[in-house]
Order: sequence, then structure tokens, then C-alpha cells
Amino acid sequence: MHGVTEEIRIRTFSNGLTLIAQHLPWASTAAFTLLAPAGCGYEPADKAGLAAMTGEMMMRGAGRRDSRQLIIDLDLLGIDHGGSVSQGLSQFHAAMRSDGLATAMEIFADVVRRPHLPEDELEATRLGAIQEVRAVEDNPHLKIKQELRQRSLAEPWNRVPNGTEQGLMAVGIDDVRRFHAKHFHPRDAILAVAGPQAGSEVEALVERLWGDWDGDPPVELDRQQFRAGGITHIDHDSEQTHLALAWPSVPYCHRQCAAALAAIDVLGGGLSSRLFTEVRERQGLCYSVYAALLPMRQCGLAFCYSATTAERAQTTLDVVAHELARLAQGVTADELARAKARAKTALVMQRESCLAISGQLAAQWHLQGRVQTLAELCEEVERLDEQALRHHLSDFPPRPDTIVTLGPSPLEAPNGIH
Amino acid sequence: MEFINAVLPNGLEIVAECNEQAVSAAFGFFVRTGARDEAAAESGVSHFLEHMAFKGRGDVHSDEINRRFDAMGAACNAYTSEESTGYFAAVLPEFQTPAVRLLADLLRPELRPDDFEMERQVILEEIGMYEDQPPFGADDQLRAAFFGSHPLSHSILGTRQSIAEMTREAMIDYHRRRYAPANVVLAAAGNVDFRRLVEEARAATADWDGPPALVARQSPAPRATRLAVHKPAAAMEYFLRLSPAPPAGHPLRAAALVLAALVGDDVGSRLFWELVDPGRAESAGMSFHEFYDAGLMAADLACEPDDARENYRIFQGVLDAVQAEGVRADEVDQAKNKLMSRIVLGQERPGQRLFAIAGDWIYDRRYRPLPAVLDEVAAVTAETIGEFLRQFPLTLHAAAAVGPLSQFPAEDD
Repeated sequence: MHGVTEEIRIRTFSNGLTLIAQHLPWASTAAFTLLAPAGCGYEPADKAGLAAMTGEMMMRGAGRRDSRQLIIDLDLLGIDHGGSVSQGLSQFHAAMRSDGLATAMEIFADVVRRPHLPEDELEATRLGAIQEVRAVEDNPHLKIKQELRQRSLAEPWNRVPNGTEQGLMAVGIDDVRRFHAKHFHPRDAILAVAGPQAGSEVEALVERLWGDWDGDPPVELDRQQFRAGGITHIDHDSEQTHLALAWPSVPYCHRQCAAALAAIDVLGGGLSSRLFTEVRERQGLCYSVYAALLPMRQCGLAFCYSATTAERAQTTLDVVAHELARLAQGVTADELARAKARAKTALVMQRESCLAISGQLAAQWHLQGRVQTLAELCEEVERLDEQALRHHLSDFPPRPDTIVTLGPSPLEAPNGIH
Repeated sequence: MEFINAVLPNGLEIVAECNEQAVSAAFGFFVRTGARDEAAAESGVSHFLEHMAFKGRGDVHSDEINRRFDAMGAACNAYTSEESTGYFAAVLPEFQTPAVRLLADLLRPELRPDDFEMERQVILEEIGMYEDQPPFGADDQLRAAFFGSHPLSHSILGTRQSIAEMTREAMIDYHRRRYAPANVVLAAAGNVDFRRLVEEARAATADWDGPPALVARQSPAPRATRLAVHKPAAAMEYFLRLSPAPPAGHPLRAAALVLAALVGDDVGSRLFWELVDPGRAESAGMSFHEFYDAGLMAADLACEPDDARENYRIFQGVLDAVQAEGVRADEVDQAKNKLMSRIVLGQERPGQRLFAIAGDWIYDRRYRPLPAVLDEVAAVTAETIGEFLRQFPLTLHAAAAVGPLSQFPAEDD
């Protein structure tokens, strides 16, 4: 079976860029993910949205290609591509048939190192970005997740990468050019590549395209910290009331991270999770309910979400709160076994796509400064026992201290939550 | 990669693309039934029944079904469309037997009264969820207006009223009519043991019976319409636009796919350059949808309400220009290359490939290996697209404006 042999080549170049190349001889496609420490956390407070605008502007012409030619060539070469901005990072990724890897890497070396950042396209970029901010108002699920994050993490990790209308209005071309020059540099940048090319071949390519990339060392952002955001209601003209609850959890490299992931899966991961069973299957209160964990470098954010017709929302919130209290008492052996099976299958299936592999390798390196093989990751899951989960749930009890509701009327805080 | 198919004595068809190199295997039971097969009084029953399938058979209740899927680590789900209902799971190959068994049992649910009442609430919540996300909901109204009395006008979710009034007896009757074994395809992709699969299917469906269900095909007579769905609280104005396209299996299918990418892909398309790249619209796109006896080119636009009239004029202008002047060879090449690459990337995993295999078989009992699909796309030229535009003009269309505008913008031409 493919995916069993894993040859991973890691090299940190003298300029600070780390290459992680996974050789997958069976693959007919190839992909890469580039992470640069250029997230919205680095924006001046009055220019919220600058990082996202910079990322957009970088795609508007680079190297010898103008804006239009860049997009045409990516299409002609069949390079599926995308980018995103988080609080800490800007990310570009691309996937293609395997013979297109070298050309795709050349184009993205231009995008990251030699973007034109044309002044005459700034307004178009700004208008598009403002519309994205406004469109979130029509997507209550997305909106409540943004609101929850804003209230449950400390600055600058609570920022919304889309920015604000006011912030976007304040961005000038010099801001974009400065942001690019200052934050797209090789120190702490990560390039993960997965495909049928041998590691040595990829390394030579990266050396040629990125070896002479230079720049200043990055600025350190403040530490990631959870904060208790209390209870907030946001008035929204909607059929349903949406609710989201957050509590602190572990960072990615914490020894309890696998236990934290298993606990959150038991709470609201699969079909047999407690929230799905109780809130949807037994009480028919909602269509959508889940829980998830966002483990970062220095802290972690656990949260759950549901949405119910306004008049039944209080019951839903109370049931969710009850399930959180019940989780604190531990999980059963059967529940743990299912969480482990789900985790292992997900890990194995992630290896079926070069793009997923490159994304996972880059994220692992960013979060913990090393990559783990599939076997190591599975072993970590396998080692989990009920005691490990009990420990975790006692150290990081699922006691929400940030709650956001969004809908036509506010809800009452459930018992035990203030 | 090997394609194998079989038919069981009860009429159930089995198709599989087997690849022993794959790390996973995907299985799905696909029923040739959906919203178009519903009588007016049972609107939404196909989708409601899909939910009820997970409530269990015999002594096995939903809790147990959910636990069994999770215990395998299965990535499982179900969907309902206008013409098919699918129940599927991707698993590690060692779970083939229990996965097939569990999926098969979903198709013979007990339909217990208590479960029925509980799930009715869940469906009503699902309808409420979509109502809060414009332009969802308006697509149903537009399709109904476009297709008129043709069964493709039916809503998949149904309405609050039809769901509130749905009876268990009506669902039992629908199930008896539509879930006969001869109306079901078991499809598989990836690391599949085919011989075992046939045996498993035979054992799991031994007690399935029922007369084969017929698909009522009829030529559509699409109608040009303009609708305004007033949503004063929406932040953006949305436009949805439908025009005719070829049915499944039609020789111009690949042309339709290339044209949709050329006109309305997220990036690099005509609508992108005119509306999204200049920052006028938040999004603008086009997609192709195929059914037994009809097809749809669906285009959409989302933008600031204040600019909606002007943007809709530009949007309409792009489509009119394509219809009047056709397309250039260089943009056809661009769209084809992008599309072919996306097809390859989009079918890497057995869990994705499953749907292509099942879809081809449901519609015309054909197996199209990936290279053949790519060849069909590669063969498209500006002339083929010209032929498409002659047979399926973009100008005959129905459109809806959804959002703060209280009226559909006047079209001045």
C-alpha cells in the first residue's frame, strides 16, 4: 500500500527558510504550501485587513507577468492555487499534475519575492476586500465564529483576517509595499512540498528559486493567550439563534494535545458524539451541532457551536451546557476507542492528497518545529487511555468562559456559567 | 485500476473501480430517486427519508448506527438531489464488510413514529438554517419558475408546510415505490475486494424486493422569468440566473463544462475579469448541472445592493457577448487546462472518485475512466462551444434578485 514508506527531506537554508519535501513515488499530482510570518497580527491596529489586501495584491502581477498574464498562465498550466491569511501567517498553496511542479514553484517564487504591487489596482483590491467583510453578515455561522474568537483570545490573536471596513479604507499603497517588504522574509518561512519528485530534486529547485531570498528577522508577536470573554448577545434578524461557547485548551506541542483532540471528538466530532446524540438525535433541537479544537503554538481554543429556531435556543444552550458538565466527568472506554479509530483513519486518509500532505507538514513544522511520520502520529493516538483523558479534562475542564449568541433575542446564561 | 460490474438476481447493480494501491475504499448505495419523483403532497419526502435512514432497522437504533460508523473511523454521509439519493462511506479497506452491511441497512429503515416526529423538527431546523443564508431558498423558487410543470421544478427540502404535514404513511408508500433493489446502484472505488463485495451485497440485500421504479422523462419547456425575492435584512444583493443546457450523457456535455469554466470560474474567467477582479462584485460565477432529460447553466452574482443594478447590467452584458460573439480559442485552451487539472485533483481520493463512478452509472450505465473524461474535455474547441450556444442559448433565461432590492432591476436593451 502506498503511503507506508515515507521519505521526508528537511533542510533549513542559510537564509532561514525551511524546506520539508515528502517523496511520494506513486503520486500523479504534486503540491506545495508556503507559510510566511505575515499574518494580520502584524498589522498596525488602525489598518485591519492590510495583510489580506497585501496577499491579494501579490497575485496582481509578479516577475515578468502582469496581473492578467499571471492568472492566465496559472490556468494554462493547470495550477490550482489559493491563499489565506491567519493571525500569524500568510499562506499560499498550489496543486497540479506532477510535471507542473517546477513551473508552479517558479511562479510562486515571483509572487512572494517579486510582486509588482501595482498602485492602480489598489482600489479594486480594497473594494473586493470590503465586500468580503460585508458578506459575512449573511453567513451567521461564520460571523459567530469570528465574534467568538475576538472575545476569547488576547490581542493580536483575536483579530479577524478580513479586517474591518475602516481599516481597509485606511490602507495605502505604501502600507502594502511596506508590509510585504517587512513580513515576507525567509526567517521562519516554511515551504512544504509533496509529490513524486525525489527530495534531492526538490531541494535543488528550492535552492535555485529561494536560496538567495533575503530579509530582516521577523518581529515576535505577543504570546497567544486565552481570555474570558463573558457572555455577549449580538442582535441579528434571523430565524435561528446561533450559539458558540469557548474555553481554554492546550497548544499543539502540549503532551496532552492528543487527549484534548480525543475529548473534543467525543464531545462533538462524529455522528456518535455526545452533542450530536443529545442535541440533534434525541431532542431534535438543531440541524447543526459540533465541537472543535484549535491548537496553536502557545495555547489552544476549544469551542462548540449550534443553531436552533429562536424559541428553542434556550433549551439548546442548556443542553449543551449540561453535556459540557458531563464531559468533565470523563469518557467511556467505548467512546475513547471510537475517537481513536476516527483519528487514525483521518490521519491515513489525509495521505491521499499531495495538497493535504503539504499543508499538514507545513503546519506541523510551524506549530512544533518538527514533523512526525504517519506511524508516529498513529502511535500517539494509540497510546491514549481513559486516564490520560481524565487528566486532561481535569487540567482543562470544558467550562466555557466565553459565550456568544447571535439571533433575535438574548439567552440566559446556563447554570454554573457566568 | 480495474472496472468491474455485476447485477444481483434482485436487480441491484454493483459497479466498482478497484485500485489495490489505494489506502482507503469508498462505498455508496445510490438510489435513482429524488425530488423529481415526489408527488406534490409529498414534497421533501426524499430528503426526509434520507434522514430517517440513519434511525435504524429492527432493534438497531440511530445511536447504535452512529456508534458503528464511528467505530470504523468511517467518513460517512448522505445526500438527496433532484434525481438521486446517496448513502456513502470512506473507510480503511479492512472495514469493507461492516461498512457495506451498515450502509445496506440504512436503505431499509424501520421508520418508527417517534423517530419520525423527532426528525421532522431537525428538517424544519435545516430549512430555518438555509433561510438565514441568502440566497439559499430563492434557488428553489427560481427553479420552479424556470421549469414550470416539469418535475425538475420540485424543491429538495420541501417547505415548512409540506414537512409539517408529512405523514409516516406517505413516506412508507414512497419508500415502497422508489427503493426497489432494481432502482439502486452499489458503487465502490479504491482498495475494494470486488468478489467479496458481491457476496456482501447479496447477503445484505437478500430480503429486498419490490417492482422496478420507472423514471418519468419528459422534455422541459424552460420559461424566461424575473423574480425579486425581497430580503431587507440581507447585507448583499444576490442574483441567480438559469438557462438551458444538455441532459446527462449528451455529446455537448464537455462543451458545457468548459464554457462554464470559461465564463464563470472563480478566477480567470470572463465574469471574474469584469466583475470580481475590478472589485465590483464579491463573487460571480457559472456552473453546469445535468439531469436525465434536461440540463442547467446556473450563473450567480453577489454584490453591494447599491451597485446591484449596474453590476447586473455588466453581468448580463458578459453573457450576451458570449452568446453573440462566441469564444476565442486561447480562452478555450485556458479553461480546458484548468478544468482537466481540477478533475484530476478532485478525484484523487476514492471518497471523491466514488461519485463520478456512481453518477456515470446512474445516468447511462457507462463507466468513464479518468483518461476518457480528460479526453472528452481536451476535444472541446471554440466551434464545439459555438454549437452548444446555438442549441442551448444563454439568452433564454430565468433570473432572481435576492436581497434588499424590492424589484428586479429593469433590463434596458
